[in-house]
Amino acid sequence: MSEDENTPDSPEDEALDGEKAPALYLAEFDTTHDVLHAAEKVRDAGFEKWDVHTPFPVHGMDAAMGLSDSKLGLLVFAAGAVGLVGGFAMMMGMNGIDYPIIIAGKPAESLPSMIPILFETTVLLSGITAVFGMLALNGLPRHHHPVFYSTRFERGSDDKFFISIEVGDPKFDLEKTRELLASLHPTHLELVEETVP
Amino acid sequence: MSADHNHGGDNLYRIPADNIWANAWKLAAVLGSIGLIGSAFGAASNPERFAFSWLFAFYAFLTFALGAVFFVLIQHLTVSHWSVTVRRTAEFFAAGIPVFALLFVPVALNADTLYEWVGHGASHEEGHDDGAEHEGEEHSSGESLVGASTARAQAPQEADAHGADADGHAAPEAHGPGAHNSPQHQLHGELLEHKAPYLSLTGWYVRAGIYFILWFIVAFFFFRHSVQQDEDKSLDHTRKMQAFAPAAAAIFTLTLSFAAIDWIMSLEPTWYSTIYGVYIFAGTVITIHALIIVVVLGMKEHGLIGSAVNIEHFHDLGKLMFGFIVFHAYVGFSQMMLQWYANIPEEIIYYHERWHAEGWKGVSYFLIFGHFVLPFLFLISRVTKLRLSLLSFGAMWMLFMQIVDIYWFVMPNASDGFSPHWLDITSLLAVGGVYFGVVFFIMKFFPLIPIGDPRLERSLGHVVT
Repeated sequence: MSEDENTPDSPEDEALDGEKAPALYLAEFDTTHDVLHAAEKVRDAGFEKWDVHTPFPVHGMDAAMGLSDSKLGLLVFAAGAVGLVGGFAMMMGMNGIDYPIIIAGKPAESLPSMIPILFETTVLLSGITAVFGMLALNGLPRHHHPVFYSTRFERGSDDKFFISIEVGDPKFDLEKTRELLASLHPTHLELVEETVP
Repeated sequence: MSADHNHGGDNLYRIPADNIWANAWKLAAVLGSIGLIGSAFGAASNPERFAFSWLFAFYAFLTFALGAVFFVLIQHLTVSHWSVTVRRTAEFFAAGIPVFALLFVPVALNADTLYEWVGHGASHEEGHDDGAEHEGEEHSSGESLVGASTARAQAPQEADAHGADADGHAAPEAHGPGAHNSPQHQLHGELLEHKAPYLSLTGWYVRAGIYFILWFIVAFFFFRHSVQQDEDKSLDHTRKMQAFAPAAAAIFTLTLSFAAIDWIMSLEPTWYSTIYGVYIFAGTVITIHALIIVVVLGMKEHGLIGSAVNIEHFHDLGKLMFGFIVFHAYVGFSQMMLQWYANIPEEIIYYHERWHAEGWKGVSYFLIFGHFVLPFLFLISRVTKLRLSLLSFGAMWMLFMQIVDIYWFVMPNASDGFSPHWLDITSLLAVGGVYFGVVFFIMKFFPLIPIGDPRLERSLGHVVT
């Protein structure tokens, strides 16, 4: 790690007009082991707006980052319950109340004939909620993130591991955060800046 | 992560003599003996009930063993590494399958009590009036539909309409062991004659023999190669097991389905369901995952397998068990829905006996909620599946429900209403005691983990999250 590499050196950035403002610190690591232990330290320091970027899933990272279970399951379960009740209300309203037609001698509102529909509406709402809830919880779609101003970050999809701490974090401090990250022995540490209009 | 458990040398993952598991077989043997004595008394005092109770107990525990065979097969079919450390447990339970050939003897001896079709050969005499009887049957069905519609239009109460509909058929009412003089018996006669080429006692014995021989071959092939690999660590065993797994799976599927048809479905010989084998299969798969969870957790708590089976293995077993609970409900509902909708006398009789006969409605509701709804809600969250005490409770509950499920399959044929009998308990103790006793006894002589398996290392470090 050398001092002169601490500012963004991307030529694209130079071309953009406007003032530069710090966006995040980006620390680079060579191994999963290093990044896992670094993540634990960052977690213990109490940061909130930070992330770990790895080319592949790293076992134990959820715990190292202190991530709780995803809320998606609860959302999907609630949506499934709504689909079940809604499907029942629909079938009951149509077949049992509005148009009670006897088919094959069965009572108009008989439950067994509804179950396939209830299954479908349950799965439908659960599935839709799973997909769109996942996107929403991940903050997607998102077309821009300052981390991509770093050219080194390209290797984040290849063979390098990164930790980023964003300026927006309540505990972020240009000097102290740098010291913390430097103490984790990254192979490279940079302050990524973004252009403020 | 690696195995930090070490008894040293040859004793790796073996049950030490002072461990409670070394004596587990004795407890099973005592319970089995009590059951056997009780059942022997019952067989003398109430031979008919004994026949049905024994068939129920025999089949309930047979699904444990068949599930174990399936578990071993599917791991080799899918070349999976996650399951290596729990596979030996399934191999033990599969290796206990020869016991069932002995336990089958009372079923074989009581075939004429159990199965209505026994004795219905080509020389059936009661078929003269069948044509006229059949017409009458259709007529009454037609009327019942009209009646149901009218009832529906005038008083929109499901119970009334449903009752009128079902009662209109009259056929289910007359069915049962005591109904051999009814007109429906003559309709039965015609159908049974039609099925006589398959439902003959000789063929039934021969097929039973074939099932058992094939099950021995499959169970022992996989058990023998797996334990030999513990000694010589040779890769050949893995290759051979993987090569045989597809054929063994075909054998398993066919024998499981035909055994279910021969032993359980033919209790109601005019009734049929084309999905029956799948229904039974789904139950066996739930059962073996539940059984592995309970037994392996029991061994882990007594320090027999160290960290070889970790929370991820249990989580995966729980996930698979949960999936098959849903599958079982799906198959069970599919079968019920089609027959309920068609409402053909010889089909609907099955559900009529299990819904309208006294007491069975409660058991049917118990199955709907106890076998699907509540376990579904209980096990859907990963929080439950990752808490071993809760997961193990869910697994034990599913084992209990599997027994209830088989009870619901078999026992409506034993009496007209729902009437539990002490012979049901003694038969369960006898069959379960003997089977578990043998399995626990076998466990004493082999490592509890397939220590020679080439994928063991990956299974030891099995991590999902």
